[in-house]
Amino acid sequence: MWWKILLFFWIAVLSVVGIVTPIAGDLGSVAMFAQMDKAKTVPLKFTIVDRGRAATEEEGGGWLLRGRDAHDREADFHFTSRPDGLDNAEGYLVVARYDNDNHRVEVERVTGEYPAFSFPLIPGLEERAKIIFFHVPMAWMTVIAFLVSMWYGIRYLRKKDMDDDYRSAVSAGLGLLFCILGTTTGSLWAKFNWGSFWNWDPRETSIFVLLLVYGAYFALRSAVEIEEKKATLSAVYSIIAAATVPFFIFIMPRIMPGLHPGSADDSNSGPVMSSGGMDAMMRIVLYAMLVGYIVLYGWLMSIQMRIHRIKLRRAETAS
Amino acid sequence: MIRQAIAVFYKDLASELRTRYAINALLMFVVVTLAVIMFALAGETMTPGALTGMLWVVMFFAAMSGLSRSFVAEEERGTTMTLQLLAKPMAVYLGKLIFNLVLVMALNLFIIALFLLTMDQFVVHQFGLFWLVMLLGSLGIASATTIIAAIIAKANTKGTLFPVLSFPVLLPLLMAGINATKIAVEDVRWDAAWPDLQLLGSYIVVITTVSFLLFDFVWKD
Amino acid sequence: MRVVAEHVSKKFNRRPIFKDISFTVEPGEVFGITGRNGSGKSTLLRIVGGLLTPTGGTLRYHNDGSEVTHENLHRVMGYVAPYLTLYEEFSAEENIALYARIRGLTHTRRDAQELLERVGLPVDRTDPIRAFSSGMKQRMRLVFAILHKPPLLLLDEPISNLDAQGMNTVYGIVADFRTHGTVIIATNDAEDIAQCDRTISVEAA
Repeated sequence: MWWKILLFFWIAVLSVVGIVTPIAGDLGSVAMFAQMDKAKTVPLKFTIVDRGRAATEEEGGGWLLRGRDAHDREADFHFTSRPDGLDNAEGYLVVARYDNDNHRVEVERVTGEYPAFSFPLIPGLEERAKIIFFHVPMAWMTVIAFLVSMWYGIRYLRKKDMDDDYRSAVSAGLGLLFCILGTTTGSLWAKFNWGSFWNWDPRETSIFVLLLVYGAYFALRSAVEIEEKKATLSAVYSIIAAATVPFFIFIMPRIMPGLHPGSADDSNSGPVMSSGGMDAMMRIVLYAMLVGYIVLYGWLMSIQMRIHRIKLRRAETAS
Repeated sequence: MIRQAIAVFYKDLASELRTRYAINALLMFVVVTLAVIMFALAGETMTPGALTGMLWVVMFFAAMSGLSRSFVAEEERGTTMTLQLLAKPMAVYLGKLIFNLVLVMALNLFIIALFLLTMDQFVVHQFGLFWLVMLLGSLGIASATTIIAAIIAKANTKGTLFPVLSFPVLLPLLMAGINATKIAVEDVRWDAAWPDLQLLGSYIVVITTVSFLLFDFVWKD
Repeated sequence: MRVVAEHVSKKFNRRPIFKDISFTVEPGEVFGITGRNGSGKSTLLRIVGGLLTPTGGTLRYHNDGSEVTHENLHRVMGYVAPYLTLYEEFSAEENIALYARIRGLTHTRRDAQELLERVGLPVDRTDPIRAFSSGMKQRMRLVFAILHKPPLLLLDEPISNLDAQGMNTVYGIVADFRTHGTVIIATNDAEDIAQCDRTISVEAA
């Protein structure tokens, strides 16, 4: 019992952490944005090196202080007025832009104190990066559930145990659920990042094919009446479908341009997923979330199996 | 076993020639589909690339309406058991595969001939590559659809289920086939299609092997 | 041909049809499977014929001292059942030629005509067997079963649709098998049961 409560907390806390933890850039990212778009402001966190002084008229008024970012780079920060709680503050989380002319950071507004935890600012993703904690585990679960379903299918073909077939079908059902959720979250992310809900990039195409395979699997199951035959045919179909996967991996990058990180034409394989490229904090939350989803999946599997056993026992006592 | 398989193929062929259940309707299906395309595109200028896509669409749907026939016919006439009593599962599978192969090749040849005759804008620059891709494409379509036809023959809604189950399995073949055909049509260097040809070849080998291993389960009740 | 069934059981949709059926049929024996309608006679016969996989238990076949695998069972077995449909778009002779071809037998037209005469079918009909009466179709099934001279014959209600003459043909074939083969009959017909040396009842198992 206790682990179920723990699981709820695990996923809930990780979801909250994933959403609430602020995104904060460093001086490097602020300077990079300044080159692309001068007016663009981004979140930034820094610790105070020198509490500074009131700025003169020529300097634009307000307050000037010196701060240091997470990579120990220092810069002058210009506030429109003296920031609140300056005497006690260790640092600030601000929304700011880099002023190339005056070589200083223009702070637009102060969001809060220096945060203990934050996710790095990824150019092009910014706040939108947070959906990764939901989208990526769901996409992985889609694949894991399919593999588990196929595994039980193969076991059914070898041992002819109807329970294996039921496990296979339940896993496929959960896989379909994760597939729909993963596609929806991914589609939303794509809309706000790449401009349209669907772009036919290789990974979108693969999840679409997986959706079709799941759909075909259940269409086949509902079209066969004898349960033993249903079990055999659906197991055979999932194996055949799995046999085509390597071809997709080979053919798709040739045909369509990749948008996802890690695509064949993406030389640096993106800021998020490449090993070492992803922020340690983000990676911990992501993997912890994945663990939570796997446990949730296992739990749902066992619930379904118990329901199934109860139904069987009822059918037996009824007849 | 090869001789048994050829005998099974011969039986299907003789049956088809006797009854003409499939072939007449299939030829008319192709003619009608092409007519629809021609009416829909009347007066439009089409790039050869777009027409390549059309060609594969016609080939796909012709295959979807015809290639389940050999297994579904056994099941519908109730002769599955007769065939089980006559031949080894492997021989049955191989015989049906040969039958589907001959059917799909004849069908595709007919489609391509009509396509080349009626679509003026469809000009093939590298005929060698084009025919090779068509040959490999036909082989691939036959190998993938034969096992799926065996599966859906045991189900209730055979007609609709066939394309539903076939499409995800055929998709890599379609993608590689269309890509290679485009290269043949648009006169790029011939070795640009090499990876696609490799993929088509390995696809045929893998799907046929998997089908051979799994056919026993599908065929026996 | 010896057939050994051990603890055979079958379920459809998890519903048990029968369970734990064991028997041995010795060479030269005519063995009967009886049981009321729906008891699973046909199901058991189909399992013995390798057309259906049992849910549990094993079946083994010995021919002349060597074991016959399930894969090669169709070579040593003839099977007659009312639910067996032949290729009805072909004529009787074409059907025989087709079976001989698939089985890899060298078979002349004369052999085919002899077979047709033996079961009492006209030799000169060239129309498809679709037009045959149900009794004639049953005779055609007999041809299908004995064409390759198998040592094992499985009969499911063999005299259904047959007249007295047809019955004699069937029992004549069964008598032939006593000398060189084994027969298993699934039936409830008293005359069929009279042909059997031993019977087993499916529901009693």
